[in-house]
Amino acid sequence: MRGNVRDVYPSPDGAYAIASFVSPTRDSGVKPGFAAIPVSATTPVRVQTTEAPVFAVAQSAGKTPRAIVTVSDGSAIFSAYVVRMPELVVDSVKLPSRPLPGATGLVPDAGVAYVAQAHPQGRITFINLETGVARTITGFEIAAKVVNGQ
Amino acid sequence: MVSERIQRAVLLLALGYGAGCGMDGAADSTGAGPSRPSDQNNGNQASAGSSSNPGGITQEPSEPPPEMEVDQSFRAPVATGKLLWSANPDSGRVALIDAQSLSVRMTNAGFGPTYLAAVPSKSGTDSAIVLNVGSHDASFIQATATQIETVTIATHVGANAWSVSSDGKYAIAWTDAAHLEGVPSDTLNGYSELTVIDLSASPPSSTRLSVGFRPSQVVFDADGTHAFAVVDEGISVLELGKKPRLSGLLTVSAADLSTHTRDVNIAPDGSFAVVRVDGSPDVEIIDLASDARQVLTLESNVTDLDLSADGKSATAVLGDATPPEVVSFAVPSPGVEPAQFERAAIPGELVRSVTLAPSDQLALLYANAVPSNHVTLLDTAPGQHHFEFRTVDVQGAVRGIYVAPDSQTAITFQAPPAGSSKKGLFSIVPTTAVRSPRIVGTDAEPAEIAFSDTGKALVTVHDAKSSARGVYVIGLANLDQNFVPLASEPLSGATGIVPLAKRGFVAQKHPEGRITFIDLETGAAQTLSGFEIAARVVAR
Repeated sequence: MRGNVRDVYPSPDGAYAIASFVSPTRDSGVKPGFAAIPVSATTPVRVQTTEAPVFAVAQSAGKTPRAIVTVSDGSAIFSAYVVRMPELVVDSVKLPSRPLPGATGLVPDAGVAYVAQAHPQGRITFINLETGVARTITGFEIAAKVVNGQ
Repeated sequence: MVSERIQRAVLLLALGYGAGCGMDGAADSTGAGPSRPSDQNNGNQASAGSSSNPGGITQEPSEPPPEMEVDQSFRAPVATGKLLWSANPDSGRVALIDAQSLSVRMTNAGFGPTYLAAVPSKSGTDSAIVLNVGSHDASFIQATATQIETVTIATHVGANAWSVSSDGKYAIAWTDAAHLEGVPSDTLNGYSELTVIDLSASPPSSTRLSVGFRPSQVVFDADGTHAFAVVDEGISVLELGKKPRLSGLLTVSAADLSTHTRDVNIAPDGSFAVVRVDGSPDVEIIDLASDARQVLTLESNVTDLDLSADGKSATAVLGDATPPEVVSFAVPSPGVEPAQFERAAIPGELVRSVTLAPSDQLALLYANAVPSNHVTLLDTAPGQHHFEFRTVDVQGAVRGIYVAPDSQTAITFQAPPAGSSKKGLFSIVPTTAVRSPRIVGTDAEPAEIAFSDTGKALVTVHDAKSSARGVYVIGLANLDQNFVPLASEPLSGATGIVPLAKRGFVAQKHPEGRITFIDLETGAAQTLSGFEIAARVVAR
């Protein structure tokens, strides 16, 4: 697995799992990360380094399972990683603000993942599960403003 | 056939393995003639030094470091037909240079075209593919005499290497962690993704796949239906076709790769792999289709292992044995027990590595992680002299050995001996004719080599700290050499041959591009500079 496992998040059908790694100490020079594990296949684990510790994980099952992993250092570094199964390829998106607890999820029928973030007027980033392209909606509480690619 | 190796020897060399490569031996021990392996005191080491100086070394460490192998570079021009392709990451363009007329055509690629590979294509068309490191895509370029067409294909982020199938149908972009540029990589970063590109589709399609931790080799099978990625965990099997997918992982050895060298040799037809791990006497043969395995335990640790070009035999070096032994056996089915394998003991020599000649009729034995001046030529051809050998003293510690396509000559890169004023050294070693090698001292280290199939070779030397740089044009039959100075620093991996034009080339560092072409017949050099804006040809 390459890293020390902190938490394991199985997918709804148990075919895959995401394992987050224990956060390294600041001066260790090692990055945090997670692993995408094919549970029901004998193919290699995918290890992904991240800029901040894993914050939340959401997964879908079905013909094209996907996972979204948000990472946050709580202050300045926020990103989301979309994992496409069974290829285990990963696309990352920088988030403009801090992800909120319990507000990372998938809408498989719409082909998107979402990450709600802390913002005085509301902010959600939608990420296309096939292309990894992100769209962020800010201020939808008062007057929505859409920004592509953030 | 492929081989992977973790290179850990440089530090150990610096820590004291570097002693003693004297110039006091005769240039050649060939006067002793071929020797039989059973002859323990047979004169084949006549100039190999006395028993107190085996293999030309003066200090033998108790635990020698792993041997070193030489890597290839993709950051270099490639040749197809008469064309030389050169990418410029700064301008975003690729130059197509006719190596005969030196006419130049330019085409736009993506952002930062850097890593080029030639793509086999139909007659009348030259094709190449280049990775654009800034835009994370690839430009597939097809050129006829009158047209250049470019298609852009998405890849994963960070690709820096290519593997192309022999029929040109597939190209795989992958990330070779051993050749990353810039900051050191995080130990957790696996560079696991690769991109399979179907070049026969219209338009070409790409599929990203995660294949395992730190791929070190990606190869195709003979019929182009599978590809294999050698990763830390083992060998990942990729099924190609319309929807490429990862079909399995064949585990290979549980050895810790941070402390152990591992060689994985995949047969040319992709049917099996032969594996050895440093510090182990075991050779594992893995059937890549069925995952059936057999482990051959040899008498001593296997310090090097190579497959023959036809993939029918393997040669293992038992470098820790006393004396060192070379063992050859049929693969994938040896047919006999290891004790009955064909073998040669090489007494009095330091032998830890093997390079097999393309003809499969000669094995060149040497050591390069521990200084040794000697190269042992083992006859592996069937016949009267089968498994006889002779040893050649090349007067400087061997760093690498390269064999000409016809297997008649080898060129060794060496370190100059203590006391020499030369910065570098290489030798032209006849392998079948019993002749003294031609030993050439150079003013800069030999860095690159290219062989033509017409009996010529180029050896590029350069020293980044001085203006000493140039290329030696070598006639292999007569062991002759001529030096051509270069106007600027040669690029790594950028010495090559354009066979149809019968010219060699050396690409050099220059803001607008600079390539020196060398006529392999006459040795005449022409340097093309500034081909990005307005080509200027200078003849020497």
